[in-house]
Amino acid sequence: MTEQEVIELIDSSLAEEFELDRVDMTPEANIYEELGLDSLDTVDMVIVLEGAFDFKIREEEAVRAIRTLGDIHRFVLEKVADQN
Amino acid sequence: MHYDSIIIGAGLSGLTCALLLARSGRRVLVLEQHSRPAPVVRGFQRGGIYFDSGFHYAGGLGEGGPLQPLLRHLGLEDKLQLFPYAADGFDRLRIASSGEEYLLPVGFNNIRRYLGEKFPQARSEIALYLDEIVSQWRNFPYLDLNADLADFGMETVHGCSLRERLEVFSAWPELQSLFSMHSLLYGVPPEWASLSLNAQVAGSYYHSVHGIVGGGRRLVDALLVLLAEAGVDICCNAAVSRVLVGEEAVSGVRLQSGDEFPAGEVIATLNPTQLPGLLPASGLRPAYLKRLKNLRQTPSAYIVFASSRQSLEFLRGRNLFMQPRAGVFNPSADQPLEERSFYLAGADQGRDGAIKGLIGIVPAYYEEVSSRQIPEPGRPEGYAAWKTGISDRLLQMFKKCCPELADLELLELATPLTLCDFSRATEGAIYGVGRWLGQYNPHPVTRLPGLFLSGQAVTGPGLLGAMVAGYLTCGSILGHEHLRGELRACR
Repeated sequence: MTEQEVIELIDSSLAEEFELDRVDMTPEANIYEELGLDSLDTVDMVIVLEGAFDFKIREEEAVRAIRTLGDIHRFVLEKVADQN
Repeated sequence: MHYDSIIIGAGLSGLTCALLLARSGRRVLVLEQHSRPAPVVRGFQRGGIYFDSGFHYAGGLGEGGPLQPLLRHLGLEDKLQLFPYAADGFDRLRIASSGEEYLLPVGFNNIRRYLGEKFPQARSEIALYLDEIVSQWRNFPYLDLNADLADFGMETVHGCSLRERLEVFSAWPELQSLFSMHSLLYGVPPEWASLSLNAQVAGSYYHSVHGIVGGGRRLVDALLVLLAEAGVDICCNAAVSRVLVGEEAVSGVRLQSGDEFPAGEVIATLNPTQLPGLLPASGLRPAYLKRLKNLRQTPSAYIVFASSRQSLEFLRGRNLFMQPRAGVFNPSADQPLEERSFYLAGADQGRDGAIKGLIGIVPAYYEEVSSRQIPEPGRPEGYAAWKTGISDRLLQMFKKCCPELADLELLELATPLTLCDFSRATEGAIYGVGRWLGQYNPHPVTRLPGLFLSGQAVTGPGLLGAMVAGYLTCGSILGHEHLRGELRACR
């Protein structure tokens, strides 16, 4: 999977599962303030990413530190790289 | 009538929620689709014998135990008569292949001493393992009144599995049996159960073990008296077909009959996999609804209710866990019935009379019986014969392992289909949604204002799980510090 494909899979999965508008989904967008997620959504986000990429996310600290969509991209790209 | 809070489901967690919310000043309505409240915990009578079908024995009710403040706070302590299980062995393990037997005494120190004597080579490993259980078993909100509420449950998602932890005892498979047998009490196989889940359930029994004189029905009766005093309305034969959602918040429920009840708070205690079917499409995010639908259920069971002409003294004050061969308990759908582990308990104990009823629980799987699922009335023609065949096999199996059960007569057999139809358990799951490693069980709070979850899926199984679920949900509504403060005063 190329970097671009990974990012596309993240964005399309989140857009579908959280009913987000793709127009708003810029890497700089704050997922809580701009995309309207809240702390209760965090677990669902983890489950969506686990399902899309078939890995387990155990990095609770790192997940808690996520603020922007770009943070999610970087987090997943690192995990995908680790897997390979 | 306008209600502040509507609770879907009159099981133990629903009734606990109802009592706590009513005492905080809310008008509360409980809706139950069955004809009577708490149908599973209430048990039933057959052949003059009372049988429990939901509650069998409870841990953590002894002096200083974490359930004590909860019962006291609810007002149940004075209304229930408890009796202790046998101190020298509340559970007996019998291994069929070798005929060996072990007793598990009550109390961490007694267990340590007894097992240390039986397995002197493993003494230090036993001590380490039990120390771990001691440090973990109360580590849950409302069991430990100071536990951190933010991250509860994470250990059961990512922790070490019970099977992994018990590898250290591979030279002593009997110890693996003894330390994993209580997985039958929460339904998640040791490979998928976190050590902390096992600690929460098994640890409560290691601490103290009690039964209720008169069984689960006495608990239900006592709760109903308290609920009436608190002004809670309970409506039975009332199946909810829809949770109504107004302007971005819950607005009430609609019943299958078409009746509607408005309310600003709805607490759903049903199996959470059934909740998405009650919600309008726009109520919650697809990610969350999918997560609820995909929650993994615990296995189902065959439950035998039989009578014995002789008093079943070997089950007085202690249950029997039967395992074909020593080692970590490993229930699976691939095993023929005769090779499964099972659990036996004497019915209606706590009185001085003879124990004439036997309850036998054997793990079973919905896929084994799903082809026979036809809505009642009108099971297929071969159904009765099939059920008789299963009963005969189970009774044979019990008698073979337990010569004490020479003259058993079957009174009733519950199959996974019974659990499906009677308890409305998805796939007949005996403990509902389990806490499987890797699975995020739902939190009591949802994103939809006014909609809350409760029940064993948010905590764990049993009397303890159901009551703690009630507190956890009501704490989310009324404020955890408020409720925990009241509980501290009940210690």
